[in-house]
This record gives sequence, structure tokens and C-alpha cells, in this order.
Amino acid sequence: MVETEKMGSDDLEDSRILDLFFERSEQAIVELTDKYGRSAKRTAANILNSESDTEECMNDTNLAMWNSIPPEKPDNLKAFYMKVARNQAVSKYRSNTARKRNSLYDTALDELEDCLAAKDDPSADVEAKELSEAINAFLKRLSKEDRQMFVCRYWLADSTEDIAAKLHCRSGRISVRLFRIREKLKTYLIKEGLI
Amino acid sequence: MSRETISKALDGIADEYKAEALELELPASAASSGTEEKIMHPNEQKTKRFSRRVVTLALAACLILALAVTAYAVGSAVNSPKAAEKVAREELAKWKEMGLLSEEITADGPADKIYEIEGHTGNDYWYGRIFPHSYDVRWYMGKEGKYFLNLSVDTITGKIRFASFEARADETDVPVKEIEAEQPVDPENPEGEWAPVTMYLYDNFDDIFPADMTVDRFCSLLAEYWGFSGYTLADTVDEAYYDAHWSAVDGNSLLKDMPTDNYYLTVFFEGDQDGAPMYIQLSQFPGRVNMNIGTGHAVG
Repeated sequence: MVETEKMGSDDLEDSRILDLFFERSEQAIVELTDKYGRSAKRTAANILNSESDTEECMNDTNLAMWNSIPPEKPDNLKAFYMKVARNQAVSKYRSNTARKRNSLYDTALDELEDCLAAKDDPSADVEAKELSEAINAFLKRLSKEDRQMFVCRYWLADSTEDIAAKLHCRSGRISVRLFRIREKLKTYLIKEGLI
Repeated sequence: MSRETISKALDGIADEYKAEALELELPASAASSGTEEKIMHPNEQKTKRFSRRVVTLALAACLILALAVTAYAVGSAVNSPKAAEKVAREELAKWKEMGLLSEEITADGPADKIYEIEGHTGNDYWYGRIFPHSYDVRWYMGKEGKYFLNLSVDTITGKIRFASFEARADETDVPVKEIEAEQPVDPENPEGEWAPVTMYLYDNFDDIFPADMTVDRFCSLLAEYWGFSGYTLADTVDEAYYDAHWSAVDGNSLLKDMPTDNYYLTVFFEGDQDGAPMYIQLSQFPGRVNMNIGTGHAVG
């Protein structure tokens, strides 16, 4: 077993955690979850709204990380871990046959669904890839803070309270800003002919 | 558009934007569980309202007493341009804290101009009264700034008695109207050739105040700020200003939906010592929007 080094703060540097993965030391998962597990679990919980599903999702996430590193050597370990956790959570969310629509992820999707309501013409429904490209083009035009708000809400499914805590402001401000961003997105997508 | 499509599209958000969002850390003390929104128990709400009322009454009594005792003795709470700028910033922060203004409004850097306004009449259709002693503290928009602010601070009470805000439209804002105009080809030479130009009007009023702000709520907050007990929305009759005979808007309507073309709303506040009206006006100029709130006499 490799001895862990504590560099400055209690958390191990990402490069050391990656080394542990490459050395096939199980300590890698311990250190990874110590450092980023709270954020990943919160995102999974936002999407799944079930303690048991969240635990199962985190186990699947850690296994997916173990199986993918190596050969993957992510430049941004946190982003990679969060992406895997979120993907696992969303997959589980979609496959749940008896899902109750009361998770934060549902609330977030509701907000966007209301905002992006299309014409009543099924043939006019846009492809996800096309919508994704348009959303990225739209996000490029926003300020960094507005982009962060959007992604925290609609990709991480953060509550407005959590977003406010992250940005050190009041949740009322977040709700108002998100409303405005959604309105701008709707206007943009109308202009692009997507809705 | 189906939820499935939206969900899959969100999966495709660019990695750089995801990484940006992940830069943000949730403080360890954050209370939210992430799966439930905090709901205040009805009894907790009642207790908070009762407590708030008691505190409000106590503060109002203290304020009245303090103003009565110190109004002449102090001479002015704001006795220099520097003090006026400091007070203007503090009052701007209060307005934002109260929810009167959008959180985005900022007074960037030092004020660009500070004018001392001392005892003279103004235009009839705005004031028609002797001005009190005040300082107009201004932050200009410049070529690239987002906001223009003019906060007129009453020197006795240290409160904003008149405010003007302008917000430039963002790149992502969509124009709501095109207007054709002419302007000099060379901006430095207005006597030279003029050419037609298309200008665009926007409705980005939520850069100035919250999008869901109603007229009633706005006036209630102003009454609270100025220490009045209530208000009445009145018709505007002003022969000097476009021979105005305009009806008051519905208090339940959204402030942002108030007419912007040759219109202003007249409001009378209860408890005001001489019944002078206050005005709210929204305007749309090429590339930016404007809100004026004003009264021509000392308040509080």
C-alpha cells in the first residue's frame, strides 16, 4: 500500500490521486471521495431525490472512475468525476420506471420545458444535438457568472439556495437572474428558428 | 420540445462551461440539502411578521425623534460632495437590499460628477417646488459602461429624493422596435452631412428593477424607504408636459409594462407634509432604457 502524502491542506493534490489510480491503489477512491465526493453526491441527490438511488449511483460512479483511469488521465480531475457522477445519475433517472417527478432535476427541466415550449407541430421538434449546439453558442454570449448560474442549475441541478451560497449572494437574486437568462435563451432560440 | 430532448441537450454543454461552473465551491456551512427547498412553517411566518412590525414601529419612532431633534442642530447629514457620494452609495445599497433595484446595478468607481443643488425652482412638470439643498451624484455610462446613475441626496435626511437610472442593452437583448433617424456622418461635425440611421429600442428594464416588480410593490417599498404610511396612485394632469391627462396604471400591473412613450405616473404619499406628488417615468432610448423616480421636496 502506498503511503499517502498530505500536501499543505488535508486534501491530496489531484496529481497524487491520479498517481494512485495508475498504481492501482484502492486508496485512490478513498482520496477522491474525500476531496470531491460531497459535491458529486449532492449533484446525484439533486437529480435522483432518493437516498438509496444516490448511494447506488455513487458506487457506480466510483467503479466507473476505477475502470476508466487509466487509460484516461483527465486534466481536470474534479470536472471528470462530476461528469461521470452526473451521467450515472441521469442514466438512473431516465431508467427509473416509477420515478416521481419531485427532484431538483425535475424542477430544473420543468423550468426549461416551460420556457422552450415549441409550436404544436411534432415535425418541428429539434434534435438534441442541434439544441445543444445552440445552447453552447448562447452560453458563449453570457457573462461568466451568468454561465455558471445556468450550468449549476440545469446541468448540476443545484437548488437556487446552493447557487446563491456558491456565488455569495441571495437566492432571490439567483431566481431573478435565471428567469432572465431563460427569457434570453428563448428569444435566442426563436431567432435561430429552433422553437 | 420534449423533456428528453432538453435533458440530452444539457448533457452536451461544453466541457469548458462545465469546468467553469465546477470552479464554484459550496461553503461547508450551506444549509440546503440539495433535495428540499426550505419551507417556512406558517407559525414561524406569523412570528416573523409580528416581530418585524414591532421593530419597524420602534425604528420609525426613533427616526422621527432623531430627525426632529437633529434636523437643525446637524444642519445637514450630508455636508460635502465627498459625504454625498458616500451616502449615495449607501442608499443605493439599501435600495438593492430592499429589492427596489436589480442586484446588477453598480456604481463603478468614483462618481464622475457631483453637483450641489441649492434652493431654486426646477421645471414645472417635474418639480414646481423650491428645491431643497441636495447633491446630485452621478456615474456616467461612458462608451462601454452598463449603467448611468444620478442619485440626488437630500442633505438634511441623507435620503435619495430623486433618482435616474439608465441601463445599456446587452448583446443578447433583442430589440423591440426599430426607429429611423438621422445623425451626423461625422459625430465631431454636427454642421456637416447627416445620413439616415436605424436605431433600436429595447425593454431591458429588468437591468434596473426586478422583472416581476409590480407598481404597487415598487410604491410600497418607496413609501417604506421614505417613511410614509401609504400611497395613492393618481392620474397625471400636466398641461406643461404634452398636455398630459393620463390615467394611473393598475397597481397590480408590472412596472416594466408601464407605458414608456410620453407618460409618467403620479403618486401621492401619505404623511407627506405638503402633499407634493412623486413621479415615476420609464423611457426607451436607442440602445438603453431609463427610469426616473422623483420628488421635489425633502422627504422623511
